[in-house]
Amino acid sequence: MRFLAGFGKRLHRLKPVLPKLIGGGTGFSLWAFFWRRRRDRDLDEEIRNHLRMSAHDRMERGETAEQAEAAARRELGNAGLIKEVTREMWGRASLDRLAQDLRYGIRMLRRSPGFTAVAVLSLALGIGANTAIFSVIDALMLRNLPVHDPERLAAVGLQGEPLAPPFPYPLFVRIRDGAQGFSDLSAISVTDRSNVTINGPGGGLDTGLVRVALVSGNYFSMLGVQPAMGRAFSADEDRVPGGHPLVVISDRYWQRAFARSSDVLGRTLSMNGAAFTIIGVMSRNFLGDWIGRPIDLWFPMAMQSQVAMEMQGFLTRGNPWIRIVGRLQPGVRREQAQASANAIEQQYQREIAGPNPPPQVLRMIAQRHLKLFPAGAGYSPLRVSFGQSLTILAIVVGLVLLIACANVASLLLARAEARQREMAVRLAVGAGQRRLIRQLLTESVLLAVMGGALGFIFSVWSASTLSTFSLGPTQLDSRAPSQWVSLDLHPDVRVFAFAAALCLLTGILFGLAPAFRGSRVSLAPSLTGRGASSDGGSRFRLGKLLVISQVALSVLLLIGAGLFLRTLRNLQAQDLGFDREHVLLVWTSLGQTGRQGESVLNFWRTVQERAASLPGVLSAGISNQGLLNGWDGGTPDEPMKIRGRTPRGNGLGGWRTYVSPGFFAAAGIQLLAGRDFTERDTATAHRVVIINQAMAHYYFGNDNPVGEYLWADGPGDWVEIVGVAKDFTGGTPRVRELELPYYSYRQFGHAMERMCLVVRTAGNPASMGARIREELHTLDAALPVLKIDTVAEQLSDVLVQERLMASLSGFFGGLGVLLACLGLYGVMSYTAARRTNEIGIRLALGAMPENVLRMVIRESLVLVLAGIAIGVPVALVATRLISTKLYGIGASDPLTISGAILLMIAVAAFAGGIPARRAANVDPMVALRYE
Amino acid sequence: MPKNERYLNRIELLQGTLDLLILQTLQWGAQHGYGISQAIRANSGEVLQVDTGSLYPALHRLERQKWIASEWTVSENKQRVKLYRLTAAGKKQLASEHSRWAQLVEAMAGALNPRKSEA
Repeated sequence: MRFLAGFGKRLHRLKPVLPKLIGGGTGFSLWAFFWRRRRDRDLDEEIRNHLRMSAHDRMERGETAEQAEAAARRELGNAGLIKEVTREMWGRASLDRLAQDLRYGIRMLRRSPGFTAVAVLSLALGIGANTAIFSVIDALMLRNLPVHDPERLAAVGLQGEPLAPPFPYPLFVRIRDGAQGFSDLSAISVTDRSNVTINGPGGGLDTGLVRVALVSGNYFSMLGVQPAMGRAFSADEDRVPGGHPLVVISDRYWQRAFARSSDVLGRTLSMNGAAFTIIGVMSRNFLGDWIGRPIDLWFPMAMQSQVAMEMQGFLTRGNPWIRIVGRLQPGVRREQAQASANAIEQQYQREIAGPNPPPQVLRMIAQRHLKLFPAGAGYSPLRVSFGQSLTILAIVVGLVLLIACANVASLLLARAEARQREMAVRLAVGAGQRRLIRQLLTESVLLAVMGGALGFIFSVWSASTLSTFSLGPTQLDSRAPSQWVSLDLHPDVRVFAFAAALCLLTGILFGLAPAFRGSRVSLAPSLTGRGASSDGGSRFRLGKLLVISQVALSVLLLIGAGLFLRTLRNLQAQDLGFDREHVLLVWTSLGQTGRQGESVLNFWRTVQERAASLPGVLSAGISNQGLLNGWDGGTPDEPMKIRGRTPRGNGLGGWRTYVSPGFFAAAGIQLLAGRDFTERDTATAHRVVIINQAMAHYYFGNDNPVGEYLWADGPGDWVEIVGVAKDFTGGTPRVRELELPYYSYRQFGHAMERMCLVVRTAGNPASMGARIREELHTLDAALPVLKIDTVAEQLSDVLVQERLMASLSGFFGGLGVLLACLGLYGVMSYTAARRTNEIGIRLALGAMPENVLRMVIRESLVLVLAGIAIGVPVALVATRLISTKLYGIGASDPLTISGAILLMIAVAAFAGGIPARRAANVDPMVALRYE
Repeated sequence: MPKNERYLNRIELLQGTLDLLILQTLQWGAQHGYGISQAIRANSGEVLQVDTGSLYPALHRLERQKWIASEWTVSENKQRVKLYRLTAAGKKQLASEHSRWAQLVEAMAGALNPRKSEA
């Protein structure tokens, strides 16, 4: 028997085709899983048949029924065991096998908690960061509006302009009534209000900011959205100007102002004395079609003059202020509708130009082309201002994820080394290589899923932080409070699917190579414990390659981070040209209160006087542009006209500013020549202007501009230059070369809708905020105070994208370096451990520990330098893509690059130094006995 | 192994040989499990005893390897029985098992009779 048993083994080898007991599995088979019960019943019956037939035979041979049955049972043996063994032959159902792999994987991961923690954490950071950026990109750029058939929505814009400019309402009416191909066309205008009064119980003045949209009557039906309660406007509820005092409120506003009370329908709210009846509450998921600017209240377009009192009569005037969005008729292509709308626009422009337009106007009209853009994903200026930054960030976090994957891969490789014996045992007992790969991949996907789950939580938290931090005020509206932009970032199925796909992808990406290597084990050396120093060299080379690529990616990230950090530093350190320590900026929106003409001038005069007389305030001034308003001045189109001089070049970008006497003193802006405005510069006095230094230099060179005259479009008159103000940062620190003519608001008396009160304080300006707000409240309780800022706060709002890029790229650069060093540390510890024997011999032969230390450090430096040698050239190419985001620094700034290299080497020397020191301290005797 | 005492005069099947015997038996036509065990016993002159505990696992394993196929039919005495039959792949397998068996016998003979190979 024993002989035969021994022979059986050899027989087994002779017959490799004998069924493999382990791991001969076919693919995923649900059938096997769900029909197991049926197969169980079949097996029972098969064994019963066997017994019956056996007993039957015996009875035929003359045994009694009882005897026959008993003998048959005896002969059969343990029926339960037979069935058990037989069932195993069916092969495990794939799900069973997966469960087994998972159980085993969890056990292995729990056995090495340090490894698991590092792997899961690095993956969580990588996957979390990617998911967070994706959710912002998705919310801002990709996701369709929750409307009916968003693909058929089209927005009217201009060719060559990524952001649709506003259009005049009369043009909209013409296109709506005349253009072919639209089934519906709507006009939308969004403004911010802060003087809404809720009537009825629990009501009162809502001093908070309210986002208001004026929309055509057909707006909701055009989009195909339904209110959750009540009704939306009907198509003809925007026909009579002032005749439809109705409002639809958002779910959020219902919550905010009415605490979701069910009797909200039929109640009223008032703005500037006009009462509006609430006819509907919009469904929770529709926030308007402006992404990042959720609407609180929708009013019919006909109520324009009641809602926006500072824009009287805009329904008939040619001022551009609305967006146009429509739904294409089924089967109509955008181009067809576009041609029709464009023809109407051309006709409209020619009519505006009058009977005998100058040739340049005709040329401008001819160059202007209406274009229809897809509008299913809604409208957002943020896409233009923020898209590039988001793309760069997506690349950065993608690189971090790659580094994390490389890290986990090298950890897995090192582990595969340690598990060689385990793998050898499993191979020896008959597991196939495929089975081992599946097991190892299951473990790595398990790691990825754990990392992904943690990362998903991390992303939900960080995406909301990211959106308030970064998308706060935009450069388009930095005079608004930080909470103003809000993206809908609730984690939805798409984001979850993205994270899940990322998990699987990374799990396979970093798991595949180690799994293939790990499962290819030569049995004898592994089992006898002699393999450690003789093979595995190629596996180790892979580890080194991973470290090199990690270092290369980290250097790339570090250089990018360095450039962004220095850009931010340069911008922050920029001389602003005014007193940044003692100035407080108070942004208000008087226009909303409906004040007109003289009363506005008087109101501001009082405000300025009262503010200046407050204790602790040195002086106060007023400007409709304030300081640091975030604008870049746009592209110059036309030079200023100077009396008696030929126009020069294209002029500079810039804007007109209306200020009060004393504004320059309050802001701490030096007057280089001439005088400030005085009380005598009234509407009836000689018209005067103060220009800035850059403008003076551009138009007058070294001549003194004081006393010269320039043409002011507003009043259509020549105005005398009476002063030159030193340049200061009116918009953003990036742009100093602007032409900024200043007029006295008391002389010209318009553009007063928004004003910034500039207050100069003796002490810390931040402490004066509350006092000034109080003072304004006593002057007019309904005056909307948009925000009160110190210069530092305003600057950080204006530099929001720079801060975002600097802090995130710095954070991820640091993370990348940390991960790369972990990888380096792992590989160096591993090589050092493998060479314990060799090092022991060297030491025994008289090598000094310093020599060993140097040897190991040199080895890690070679890896780091190789990584740097790859990373720097890549960075030199890659940073060109971000050069427009930089300031005061070149994309291949040598200081930044060498700083990044030095930092990388220093950190790497530290990471490589620990295993080196360990190696140098090896006891030769122990080392020689090591194997 | 007390169980073996009962079958002292019978030979336990080597692993792998059972497969060969099953395939061989099914060569003559479809058969149910009990029938296969009876056929093997009868054809070996009552020497080879097929342990039921090996037979059914072997049948199910061979079926999974697609060397044999099974179906439920109704027998003459109106009973549902599961019949196994040889597949095309099984026929090929049977041929190769045959030749392997011949190799094994030769190898065995050589190992047990070393002098013969010297001669």
